[in-house]
Amino acid sequence: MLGVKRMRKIGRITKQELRSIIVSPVAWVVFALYTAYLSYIYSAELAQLTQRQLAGLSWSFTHMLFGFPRRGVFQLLANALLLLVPLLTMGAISRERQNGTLKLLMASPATTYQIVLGKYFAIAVYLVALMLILVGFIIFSGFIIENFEYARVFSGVLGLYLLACAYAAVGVFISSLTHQQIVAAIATMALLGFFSILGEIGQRIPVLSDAVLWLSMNWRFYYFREGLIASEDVAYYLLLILMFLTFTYIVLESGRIRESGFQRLAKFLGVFAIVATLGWVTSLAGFTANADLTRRAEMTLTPDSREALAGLTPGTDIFVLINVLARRVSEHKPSTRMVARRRYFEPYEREFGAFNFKYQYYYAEPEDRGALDRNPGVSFMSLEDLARQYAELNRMDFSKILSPEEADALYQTSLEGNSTFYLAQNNGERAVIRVFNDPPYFPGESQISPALRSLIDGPAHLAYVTGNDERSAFHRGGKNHEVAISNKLRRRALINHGFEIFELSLSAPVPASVDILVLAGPTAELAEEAVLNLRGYIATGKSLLVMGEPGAEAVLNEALSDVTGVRFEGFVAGNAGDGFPEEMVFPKLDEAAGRLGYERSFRDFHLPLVMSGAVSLEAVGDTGFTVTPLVSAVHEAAEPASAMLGVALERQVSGKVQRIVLIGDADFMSTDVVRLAYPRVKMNSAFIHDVFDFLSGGVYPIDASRPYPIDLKSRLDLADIIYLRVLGFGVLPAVFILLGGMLLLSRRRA
Amino acid sequence: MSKTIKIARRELFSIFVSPVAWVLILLYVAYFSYFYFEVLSAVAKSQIFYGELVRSLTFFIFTHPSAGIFTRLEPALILFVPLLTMGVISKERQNGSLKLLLSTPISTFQIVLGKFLAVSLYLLLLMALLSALAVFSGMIIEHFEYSRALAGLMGLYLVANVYAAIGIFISSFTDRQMVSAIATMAFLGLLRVIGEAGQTVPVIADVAFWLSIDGRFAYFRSGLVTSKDVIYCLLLIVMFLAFTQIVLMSGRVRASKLTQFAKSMGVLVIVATVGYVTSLHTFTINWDLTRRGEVTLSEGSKAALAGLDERVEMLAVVNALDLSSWQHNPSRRAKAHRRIFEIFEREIGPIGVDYQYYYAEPGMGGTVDEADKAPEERARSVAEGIGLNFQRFMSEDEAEASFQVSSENYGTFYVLRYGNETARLRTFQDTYHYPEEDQISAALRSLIDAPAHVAYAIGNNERSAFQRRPADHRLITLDHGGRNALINHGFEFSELSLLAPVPASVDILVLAAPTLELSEPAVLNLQRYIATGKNLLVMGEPGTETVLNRALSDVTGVRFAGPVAGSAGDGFPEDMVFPAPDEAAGRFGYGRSFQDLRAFDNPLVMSGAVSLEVLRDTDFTVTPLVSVRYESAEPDPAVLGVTLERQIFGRAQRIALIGDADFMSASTLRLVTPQYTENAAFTRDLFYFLSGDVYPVDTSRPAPIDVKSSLSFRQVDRVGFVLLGVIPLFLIVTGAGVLLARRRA
Repeated sequence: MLGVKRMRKIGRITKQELRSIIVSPVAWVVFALYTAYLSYIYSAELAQLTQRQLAGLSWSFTHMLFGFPRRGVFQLLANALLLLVPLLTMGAISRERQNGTLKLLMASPATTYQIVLGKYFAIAVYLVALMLILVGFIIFSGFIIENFEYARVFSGVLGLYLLACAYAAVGVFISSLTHQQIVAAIATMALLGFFSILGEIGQRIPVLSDAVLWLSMNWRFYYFREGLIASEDVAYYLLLILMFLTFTYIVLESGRIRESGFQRLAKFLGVFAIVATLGWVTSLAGFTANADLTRRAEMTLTPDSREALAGLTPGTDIFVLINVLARRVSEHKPSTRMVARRRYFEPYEREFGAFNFKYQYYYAEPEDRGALDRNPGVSFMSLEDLARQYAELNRMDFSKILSPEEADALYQTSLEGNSTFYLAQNNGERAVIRVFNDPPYFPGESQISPALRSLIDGPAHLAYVTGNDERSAFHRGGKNHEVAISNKLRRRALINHGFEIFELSLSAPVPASVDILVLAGPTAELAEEAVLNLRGYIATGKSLLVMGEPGAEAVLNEALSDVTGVRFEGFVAGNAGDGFPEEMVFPKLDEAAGRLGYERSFRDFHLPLVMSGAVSLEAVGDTGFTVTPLVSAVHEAAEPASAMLGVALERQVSGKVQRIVLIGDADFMSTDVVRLAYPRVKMNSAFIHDVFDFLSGGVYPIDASRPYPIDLKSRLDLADIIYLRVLGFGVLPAVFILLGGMLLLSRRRA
Repeated sequence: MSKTIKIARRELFSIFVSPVAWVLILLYVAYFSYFYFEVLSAVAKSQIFYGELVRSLTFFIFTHPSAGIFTRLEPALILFVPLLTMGVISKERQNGSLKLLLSTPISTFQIVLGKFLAVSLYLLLLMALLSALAVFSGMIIEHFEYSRALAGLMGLYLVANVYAAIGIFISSFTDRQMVSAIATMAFLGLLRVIGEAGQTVPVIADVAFWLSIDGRFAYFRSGLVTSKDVIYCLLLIVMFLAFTQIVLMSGRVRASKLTQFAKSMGVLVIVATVGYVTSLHTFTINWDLTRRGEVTLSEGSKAALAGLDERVEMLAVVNALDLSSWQHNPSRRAKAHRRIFEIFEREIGPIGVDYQYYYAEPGMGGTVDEADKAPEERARSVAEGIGLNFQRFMSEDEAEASFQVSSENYGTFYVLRYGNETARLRTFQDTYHYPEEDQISAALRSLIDAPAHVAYAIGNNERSAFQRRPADHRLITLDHGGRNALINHGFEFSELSLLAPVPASVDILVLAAPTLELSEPAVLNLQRYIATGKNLLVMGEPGTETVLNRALSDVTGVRFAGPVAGSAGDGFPEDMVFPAPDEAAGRFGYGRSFQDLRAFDNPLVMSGAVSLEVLRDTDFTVTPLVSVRYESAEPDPAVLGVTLERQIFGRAQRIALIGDADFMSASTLRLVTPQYTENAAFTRDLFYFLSGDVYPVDTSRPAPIDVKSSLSFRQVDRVGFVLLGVIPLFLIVTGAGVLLARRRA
């Protein structure tokens, strides 16, 4: 460890360097510019957010002001520091070279590493001052914003500081190479800029891609900005700083001792190897620690997910099956795939140990042809040639890309329409995690958690009855339930939430594997045999969902009402109002539904639930079920004032709870209604998820949502932001310039 | 002059013997080479996978608004030029040679000009390197658009020179080069944001907007060279050189601070006046250097607006509580106006703009968080916040009385006035928000030609243009928020019963799949309407055949036959049909959707369609429009749409019969599978035909022809090797050689 004496020496050098920073005009100009820029971006963003707040729409102010990916203060400052830090470091050593004082310094009793550290610490102290200005803005935000999230911004400030320090280490190193300050500044900016696009370049040279991704500093900042402090990211920046300071040390030492260029190169490489190894070790799952500083635990799994996956044993394999001819294949390139993994899967790995990722590329004709189809040129080439071209363009080994047959034999890729997907495997069980045709593209917690849970508990088997002119789970077209149930490309379809969907006819007994049976608006009379099988199924105590429609009441009543004690009555008049179809109903949730766990629906309760052409329900006799009303239509004028449109039935059968839901409409799950243009936003999807949550006994889907943010209001009037701007953009920078000027003058006089 | 040149030569020499100049050239070349290499690789890749691009490659490589090389270079100049100019005068101050220089017989003017010329020449060298890239592109790309690249280069060079003049000016203040560089960068940053200053004081706002350099380059880049932008750059150069001269003169002659200040102000006033005058509409000359006239109105718009000869007044009616109201804040207006409406103003003269704010709970979006504050109170906060007078804001009731804001969903829209005529132009809830050429041209045209009046017949259980059922047509006809909706393209809609005669004001009658029998008077009124020579659109559905045939087939000679089998295939609804366009339809409409249908795989989607049959000849010319063909021989192809034309009362009558009413329905337009359809484009073409080629205004331009690069992916690699390897190495060696030779000397 460092002795006190040595510490003192370093301290002395630091003090001396700090003094020379303070009396240089550049430091003050940088200070002024930084303040002006910070207050400009802060006040501009605050003004816009306040105007949005007045328009009635606001989201977490802390996140929007500071953590927002493109316009947030943290990211913009990170970009600005790339230009400002080189101006601070340019003189660190090159000035000494230029003045000829370097030799003097080297000849002093201070050792080289003391010199390097001393100088570096001085810059680090200056950077603390820059951060303090930012902290001033943060404290101000704490005053004006209700429930401001201090913890989250602490993470951002720490990340920004580490990033700035890493920039400074690079700057000091470059400064040691030249005696021209300006050249040092420009070269540092260029090198830092180069590092930031390094990830892009790296993919051209696959062997280097990992090393290169490791060197690119910016994406690490992402986690700090989002409120997660991970030990591997902190270690990364510290190691990077250590590496460049050691490089500086080697450069300065070379003026002292005699060594060949080759020896020096070996030293550089040796340091890089050691640091890279340490970086690798510190990123191993066993050595990491994390602190999620966000209030809503945004970077950690939700309690629902954690609870659902409690039984997940370590050693989950994730096969990433990438069709090189499918949409958005660039998201899975070796150079970028790490980012997606950390973003979407790392929260799981933190809870349940590392997953073994295996990336397997293949080619086959994707069912969702996307861009392929839009281009006539494709038809001239065979799929194999296209894949070969892809491999060549991306410098991949074509022999490592599976053919359609191989991929299908190993991973049943054709079942997934030859799209890109993840295959999770644990204890011999497999589950598919899909990507979607929406902008986020990647699966989120709501889709990953149920897939992982199905490795432990198995999926819920959901069977749609066919044969009596019911709505279908698979057929496309307006009245069917394909979009809500089985559309693999749609994020909210139940097939992506732990359900396995199939169809069956009631002419045979319902297999024991079925967990939930769905009878969706049959219009044709059920055969006697079918009724018997249906009743047989109910007697086993499994879950059932029955949907009625006008005209189908008799069919359903005949089959079910004496078992359930609930009758489908007549047509319910619409209540959607002017301009909407006459038969459209916006039912309200009943209080009692809350008790049954209809959380999503209650969250979205200010949006309408849309049904169309519904029939009311009536309890006609006690058959041993507890009947709970779920939704009812309220009519302002007409009689009857209220009609029940959905009920939940529960009873104990052989020690288990049996759950049945009856709904007076089969359209609320139909493609036409789910994709309705008027009203465009509605709560049907949330309600569907809640219905199946109830029917599956709370197993699927997993509700991975978080509470609504509470830092939604700023108390500062829109009109008062101008004072902030005058102070930050005018007064403070002027004060800094004046202060600097006075110091400079007094020194000149002295 | 020769003295000026001598100074320039001396300065140029000192630039080239400084390492900074060489490092900058190296970085500059590496920077643009890297992006050039990336974009060429991307082009080569996509040519393999997707065939030729549909975009102009000149645009894609050089002037694309986010990825183009010019676009990427322009912000880099803010860092670049100050490093170049930082020493120009401060170095002389630092060395003490400034006094020496000033005491020579060379005038201050010559010194300043000479030094500027040297920097300008260096910048010209940089531009030459960039031009080499353009010339190389011209060799590998067929029909390369040199003129467009030239406009961009010119803009880049002019802007760089403005930066240089400012850099020299700031360099004349200090003897510290680095301070000069940073101060210049800060000043240039300020010059970008100055346009937002003084928003509430009109004169200051105008001057500030004129002074702002933000967005100037974007015009050059887009291929538009206007005299006002060129003069702006030249004036700024002159102004800052004059300022420099004033600063240097103060070292030579004795002048009080006051005189100096007066001089500077004088220069500013002269420059501002000249700038103001030259930016007036009547004094502006524009050159559109793009091949396809992209920065000029399309031929279709020009023809449509030819009759507009008086000034159009525009009133923006803004809901202060609308989520997008910030886009109309005073600080954003001038820039947005230039970007959106200037292309029209160049054709039809200035458009007057005024703003009327109102407040009402917006129709869309919004959470309940602010429900505790009354709309009035919130609107007052907005008014104070953006510096507007709340007294002039209208309450919801006043706004409703004056502008029927409820019918606009309480959004933000424009009311156009031309004489006594008015028209509405809407903003949209998408990322761009503002109306585009299509919508603006249609709204402007409706001021002279009146909108096309479409009437949907009701009373026999037809599809509606007003109702919100999935099978209705509201989404594509009068949904104000939709860019594609016909109401935003010059059409207006009404409903009528055929029990009364069709009013003469109706231009297009729509009979959308009536399932109930038309009564005798209704049939009579319908046939009378046809006899007047007006246009008609009839849509059938399975089950409507007899109703329609009874009413129409003896007039049209075409009958709706039976339902056709679906052709969409596995997994799609059985009755879904993907009809293809008929050859003869090429001449129908302005053809965009038919081009797309041929070029792409996006289907036109119909569901539950009936086929059409020609029964006998009438005086109508019948042209098949779309037909469904089946892969197997059975069943035979079926015609699903025909057009009928005849001359009557000296004008052409146009009728379209379509065997489906779902292709315009909300549920088809919002389909998940197939997600992309041609239905909106087909509908637009159909109404273009029916409105007699008047609406929507045809704003299409010819397809670009510079779409093919002759370099293969491997050849691009070789180019990359030269650009990123050989040339930088050459620069390093040359630079090092020059610097070493100088040191030895």
